[in-house]
Amino acid sequence: MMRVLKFLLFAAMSSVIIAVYVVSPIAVTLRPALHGLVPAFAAALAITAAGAGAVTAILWRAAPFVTEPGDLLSMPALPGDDASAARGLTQARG
Amino acid sequence: MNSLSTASLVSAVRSQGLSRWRWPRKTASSAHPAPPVSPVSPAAAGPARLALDRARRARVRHRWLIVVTVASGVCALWGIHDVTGIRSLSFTVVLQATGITVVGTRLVSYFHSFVFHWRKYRHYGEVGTAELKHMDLPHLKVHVTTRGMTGSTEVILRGIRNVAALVDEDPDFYSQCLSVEVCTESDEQARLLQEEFLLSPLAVRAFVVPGHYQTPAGTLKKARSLHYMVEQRRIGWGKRPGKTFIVHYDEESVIEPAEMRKLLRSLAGTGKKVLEGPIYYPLEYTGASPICRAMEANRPIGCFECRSVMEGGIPLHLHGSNLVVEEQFENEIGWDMGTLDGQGFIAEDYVFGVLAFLKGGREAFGWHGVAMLEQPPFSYRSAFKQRQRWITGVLQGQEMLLSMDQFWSLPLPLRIRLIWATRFRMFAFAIGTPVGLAFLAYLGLVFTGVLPSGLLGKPVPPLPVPLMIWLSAVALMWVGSVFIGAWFNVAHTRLPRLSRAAEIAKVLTMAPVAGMCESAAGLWAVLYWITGHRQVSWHPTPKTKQADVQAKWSSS
Repeated sequence: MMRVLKFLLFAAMSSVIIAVYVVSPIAVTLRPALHGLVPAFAAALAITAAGAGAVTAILWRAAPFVTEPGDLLSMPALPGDDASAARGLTQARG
Repeated sequence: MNSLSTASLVSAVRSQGLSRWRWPRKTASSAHPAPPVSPVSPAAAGPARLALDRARRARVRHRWLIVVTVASGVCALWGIHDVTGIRSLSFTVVLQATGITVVGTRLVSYFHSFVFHWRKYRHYGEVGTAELKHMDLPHLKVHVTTRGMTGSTEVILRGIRNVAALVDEDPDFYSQCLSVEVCTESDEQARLLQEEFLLSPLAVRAFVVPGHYQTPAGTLKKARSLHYMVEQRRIGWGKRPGKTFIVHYDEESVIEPAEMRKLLRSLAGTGKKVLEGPIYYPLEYTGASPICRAMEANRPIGCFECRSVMEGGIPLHLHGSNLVVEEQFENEIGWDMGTLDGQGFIAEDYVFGVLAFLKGGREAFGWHGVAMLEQPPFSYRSAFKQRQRWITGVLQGQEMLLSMDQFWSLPLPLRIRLIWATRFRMFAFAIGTPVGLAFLAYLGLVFTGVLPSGLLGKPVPPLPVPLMIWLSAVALMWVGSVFIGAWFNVAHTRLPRLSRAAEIAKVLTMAPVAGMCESAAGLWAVLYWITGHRQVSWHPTPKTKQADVQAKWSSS
């Protein structure tokens, strides 16, 4: 539940950023040609969505999410004495 | 192969001791004394002075060129502002549009590589051991250079364990084509690493750089350690029959077993000598501060362009990790690059790329397309220092380049690309902060009603329509680049899918602030440099949270 709420929160916040930085300039550009704020905004949203869709389509194939990452990617803990020894590693001389 | 091979690449200027380089210096490598430095011939003094004068004149000329270009740009903008019927506009808005255009030009380059050449970027098919057994594989030496500071041992272990995991799949086969060498300044770390892999079929060898070791050119910092290893190889250490490649790792770098197989296959068929691949930043991801995660999202998109740079063969930049160099070629070039104003080079990778270009030409460079995983800095302080180091290092490298005979013997278009294309990249990076701040100020003025709103006011776009279309496209590309970077970084994390989506959204939310924070480091480095500050430090980015908290930057 918390995960869903967190996602919704950040999705809403990022939508504001996208609206300010991307959708608005496109809408402002299109407004005189489309004779109205609503159609301009709708067109801007469509263009933004098309751009996001195209990028996502490439990413979906170019960088699929790794669903089962191995334990090898976690930071190994140094065993007992070695850990304290590593913490006390000599300062570099270079 | 003698250790003066680098000296044959850097110009006679340096060997005369006429420049600001400390070259040559007294050598005191007790273990492997370097050959004597060639005596300076009087005949060489003339060309050396000539090269120095040329470099000095070039610097003056470049300063004037920058001043004239900026002045012309301002005049042109003022003319546009005054003549083309956009009188109601503030001049600063036009200036702002110009800044966005500079950043946008870089984004176009990134997106061109991303949209049209993304298939060349990675190797997508799986590579199996059976397939590799039918190939004439080179030997890969995974090389890690470290100062041996707190926190580095754990992350180095992680990288080596991934190599060892591949070797464990078929010890007889992979132990013949993979080995690891760690070059450290800490005896204790060398002992720990050697003991850890004592019984492993993977050969892991740790070298300790002697405290008194000096290179012939008096090279300092990381390049000093790298050159120490080159000297070991030149006298035959670890010599293997057939072709050998050095795979350069940062302390925290990881190449997963499946990717390492792809690297073996890729290198088996290449004729290139210097190759690079993409880097993502998923390791210890959730341990990094949100601002650092957002800053790291700006990096993967750059790797798409990195591919085109490497395949183009002109090293406008080069990253030191996921850098694969043919051993013989690296031995010929070496890392003995001397110093600049008594300061060591902190972007030794960039300098090495330039030297490799001067020696091997464009044909030497290539792209291997194998992904390396790394971790973001834990705090903004570390990230700022890291970015500052990149820019300062490249500025150092360019200064060196301008004083090299080999550089001036290149055709003019090539010289322009080497110097000005890199400067443009730095400028585009550094300009992000003023551009971002100006846009926020513009938004503030619109929201407070000082400036008319393009959305709610009269239906007139604030700039000519073609310019508005371009600015909108830049905005779309910028947000898209952050989205792509965040996607790549979370693709390898251990987060559930919904959390990954939330993380991407969080990064997008922070993107405007993170972009300015990142760019501020570049701006600071450039301003620091042009005001004559040349002090640098090699303080590796802390690799654990504890090390990050304990880091004492001021003392480095």
